[in-house]
Amino acid sequence: MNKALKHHTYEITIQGIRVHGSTPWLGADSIIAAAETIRFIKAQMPAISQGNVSFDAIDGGDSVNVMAENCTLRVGLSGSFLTAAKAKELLSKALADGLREAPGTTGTIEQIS
Amino acid sequence: MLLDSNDELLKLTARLISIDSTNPGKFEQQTGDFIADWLTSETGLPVIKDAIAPGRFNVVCILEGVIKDPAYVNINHMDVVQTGEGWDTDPFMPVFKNSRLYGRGSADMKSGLACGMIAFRDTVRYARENNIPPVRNYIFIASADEEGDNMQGSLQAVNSGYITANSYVLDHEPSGGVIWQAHKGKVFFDLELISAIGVSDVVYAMAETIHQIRCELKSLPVNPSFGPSTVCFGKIRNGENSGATLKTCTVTLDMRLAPPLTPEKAVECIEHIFSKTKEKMPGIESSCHIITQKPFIEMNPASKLLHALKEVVYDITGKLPDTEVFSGYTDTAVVAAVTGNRNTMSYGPKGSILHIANEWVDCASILEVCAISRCLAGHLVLGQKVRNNHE
Repeated sequence: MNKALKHHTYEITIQGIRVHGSTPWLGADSIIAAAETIRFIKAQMPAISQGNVSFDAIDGGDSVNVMAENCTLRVGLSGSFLTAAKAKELLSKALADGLREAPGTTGTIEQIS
Repeated sequence: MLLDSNDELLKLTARLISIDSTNPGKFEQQTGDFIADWLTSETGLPVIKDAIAPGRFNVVCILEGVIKDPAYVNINHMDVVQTGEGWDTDPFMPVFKNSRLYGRGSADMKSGLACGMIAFRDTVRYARENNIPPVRNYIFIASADEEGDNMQGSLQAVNSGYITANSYVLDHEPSGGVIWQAHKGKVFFDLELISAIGVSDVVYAMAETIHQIRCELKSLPVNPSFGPSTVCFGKIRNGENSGATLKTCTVTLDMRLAPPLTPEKAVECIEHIFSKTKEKMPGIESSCHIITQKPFIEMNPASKLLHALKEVVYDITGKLPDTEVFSGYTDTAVVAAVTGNRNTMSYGPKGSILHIANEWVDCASILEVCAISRCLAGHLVLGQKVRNNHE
């Protein structure tokens, strides 16, 4: 077992604004913010030694034609000597970038393990 | 003016709001029974319950005239969307406050439904009391399932022959005092990505797919009248199959289509994006299920109903109404899509954004819309002249 390899799990919760699907410009799409956050997280992995990411769970919205008000995402991050602080910093940056892609959304990060 | 029934109109709107007709939920049966009884007692005309499914039906009432086709059809839906969260009061306990009426369906569209009911009743009584033979059939329809994915109520009205390609078809959706005749098209999808465990990350693949869909729509030219085509993501979930050998991720899309983007082109676009995702990420399989699709509807400046409605609105309000493209779909848009009818449109009261918590409608505009509905029926059905022709 590689003792230098550290693993951390986080839950990211994104809050959007619920509107009718025909007027998305009036709302804030939490699924778009989550999808873009996932892409930004993935894009940062090459910078981490032995970095790996798994997107273990995603859950958001309740109707086809109503913008998803909430979306939660469970992310596992691992890397050589990856500290919790460094992992949180990486996720925070990715989340901020993801939220910018869906104006009006907000998000929080909570460490699970 | 036929009858002064303003107080009655607001009370009727409140009564309709108080009957839960959520779709999905309790659906329209109780509202339909109430309206059928009301029409029977108020007009004395036969009332038809035209079934779309067990316990679900359109309510239809016809004032017979000399001309059967084109008839004047006023269609307004009975169902409302689910309540959602964030209400300050019970959504089915209507509240009058600051000249507004609050409650689920107050704007969309129990107020418009009440306007249609009162206008129909008043026209029937006026014709009877003044011995005026109706020029054409006047068909009032309280429809079911407008908020459903397949909008079965308006389809049923066409299939049953109450609405044809020639009919003059108006609804009182909450257009806010403008006329909606053109509509964006729409396609609803379920998209699913599947991979064997440990092969490809389906959640990441779906994130890439969502990104590509947004990029594709942004790259399309913006239609000057309709604006851009848009996408809204309604639901996303991941999961595993029962043997825990496959991982899945599903997302639903609500795409609104501006010309020249047709539903068929939108489907092609999604399939192309899926094929690129599969190229990039080996082991991914995809499926794309179309929930519903409808074409865009363009303006028809030559519409006889449009001209008549404009004249009547001018007569009642002193202002010619604007026409706008509506990004949503209505019963009248369904009629246009399935029959090719070019005389379909919406005109209704002012209210809050559609489908939100604390939905409201402006009471003064309910009264105004009912007056317009009554005057338009007088013009189209009883042959009455509009008093102040703007031309």
